[in-house]
Amino acid sequence: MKLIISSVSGEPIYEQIKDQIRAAVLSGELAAGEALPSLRKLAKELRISVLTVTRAYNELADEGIVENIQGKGTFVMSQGTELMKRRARTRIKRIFDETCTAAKAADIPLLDLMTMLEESYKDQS
Amino acid sequence: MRAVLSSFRLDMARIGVLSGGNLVPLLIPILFAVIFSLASKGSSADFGTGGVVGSTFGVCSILPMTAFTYEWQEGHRRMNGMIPVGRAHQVVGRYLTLPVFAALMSAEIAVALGLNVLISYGDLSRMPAMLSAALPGCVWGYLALQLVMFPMLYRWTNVRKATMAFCGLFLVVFAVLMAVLTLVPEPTLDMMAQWCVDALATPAVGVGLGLGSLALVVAISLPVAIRTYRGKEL
Amino acid sequence: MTTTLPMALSVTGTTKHYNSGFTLDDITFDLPAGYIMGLIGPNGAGKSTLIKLILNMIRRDAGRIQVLGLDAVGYEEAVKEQLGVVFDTSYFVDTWSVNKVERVMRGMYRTWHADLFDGYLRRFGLDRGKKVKELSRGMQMKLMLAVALSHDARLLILDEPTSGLDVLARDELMDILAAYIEDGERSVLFSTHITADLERAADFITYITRGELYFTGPKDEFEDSFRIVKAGLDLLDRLPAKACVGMHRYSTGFDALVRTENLPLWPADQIVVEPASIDDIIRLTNVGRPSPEEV
Repeated sequence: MKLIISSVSGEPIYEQIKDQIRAAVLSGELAAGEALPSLRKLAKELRISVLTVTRAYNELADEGIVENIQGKGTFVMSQGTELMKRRARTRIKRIFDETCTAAKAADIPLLDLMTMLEESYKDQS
Repeated sequence: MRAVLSSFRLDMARIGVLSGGNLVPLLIPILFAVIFSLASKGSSADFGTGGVVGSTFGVCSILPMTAFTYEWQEGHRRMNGMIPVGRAHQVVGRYLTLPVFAALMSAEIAVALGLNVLISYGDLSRMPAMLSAALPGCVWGYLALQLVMFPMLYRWTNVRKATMAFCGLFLVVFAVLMAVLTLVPEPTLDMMAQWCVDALATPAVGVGLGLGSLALVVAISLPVAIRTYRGKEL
Repeated sequence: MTTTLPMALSVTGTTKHYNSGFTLDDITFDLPAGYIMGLIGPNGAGKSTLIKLILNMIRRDAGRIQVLGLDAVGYEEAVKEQLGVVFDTSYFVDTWSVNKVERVMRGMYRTWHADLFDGYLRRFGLDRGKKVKELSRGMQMKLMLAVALSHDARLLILDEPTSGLDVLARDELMDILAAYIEDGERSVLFSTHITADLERAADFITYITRGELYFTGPKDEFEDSFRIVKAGLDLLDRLPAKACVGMHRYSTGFDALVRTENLPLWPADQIVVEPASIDDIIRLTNVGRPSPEEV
């Protein structure tokens, strides 16, 4: 699993870890049931504090994306992916609502909007 | 027990008996013995004995004290603070170095005198008599001196102050002695002196008195040293 | 059943008065086992005094200190058996060779891992034949570290180990410390005034200044509880008294250290807000509040 931490990005390190783990779960890179790297091993390799990694793992567990099993490690929950997909859908719905409001205010027709969406989607791949 | 031995070994390692710096002064009395006996060949070599004993005594007196001088430096105080040896055990361990140095001194005296005698007289037949005359008193004096110095070196972390305290003590002893000699009537003094001579003439009694008196000194010196060191801030 | 975290180090209400007038006053903090705690503060703040108290080198006037569950005074020998200590200067006799250092130190401890020590010598590039005085300061520190890591110590105490070390050596030290606590049972107390080393790797921070405990707790919480506010000098006159903890003024504006909860006291549109680093916090908590006369 790839994890890149930036000390200058301004975003707290534990947030960066959470974001990247969520992304890995979503993309399938981290499969359901798979173990996250050992907390302390990760802290050592990234040269960050153990508490910071602990916080990231704990908050992900609170969100239901991973599960901490005492003595065994931290594992991706099977519904982790679905949870994340649901979250992504909610977020996208909100963005679409905003987009539509902005489009209507600027008199942009639906078809144009869909073309713009298609372009963005294709650009990303 | 383990801690005491650790501390003993540490002090011995710090003093570094066999290291180059110490070896030279240790060899000087032997050198002196050889030179003196060569130079005075034919005349009485007994005067050399005093020089040998005195110089060996002097060199060996300094050795246990170097364990203290290290501690007067910050770095070494820290070492004393971090090793798994409590204060009392550290003191006992240091006291254990005394028999070692007394033995070292005795060995050196034996060697130096042996060479002296060999060069002057050609054989070692005199040795047992010389050694039995020189060594006991020497060892007793050495140990008594160190046992009195140790608590002072724990108390005053400064050679000058410790030595002055020591001299002060000797002045007191001297004053007491003078008081005894002037105030006690002469016949009593003669009787006491005769008693001493008779007692010491018997080896068993002499040894007994020697050991007994040393034990007494240790019984005072050790607890004082421990209490002093315990109260110290490193 | 709830289990309380085992504490590697527990300092409670510890006080020490010096005749000079300096007092280390009522210090209380805990270091849970398995973590790295940075003991920070400016020079003369009392960090070294605290370490001396833990090592029972000086006597405390009040309070209690427990190391690995044992009283630091009552069980001194058992405690120090499990303690690895690294100071800023070497404590060995400087005419000893590295080899002799091992011979002396292995006799001090019940367990000694010659293979580990050897491994560290090789990793640090320490030559067994070299005398301590021939080693550079950084190498002397590494020698103390090698000793500290070779006798099953469960708490490492480092007192200003990195002053005089270059960035590479300091980096390597942090790597070693991270590996040391990896088992979750061993802990590190790292006293330093060079906080760059702790910015990422420290789990807990205990901040002492002028003999007093300013903060103890998770490092993230420490940093999170402050912000750096930057603004123009014109804002100075209109500041409420409690607005900031300390500030640094310069010709074109000022940097102020502000407690996060006090941020609303500032006019949001006239300031730039940034996260505070450990360095920022130490620097600005020792500057003191601005007073009208200072302008």
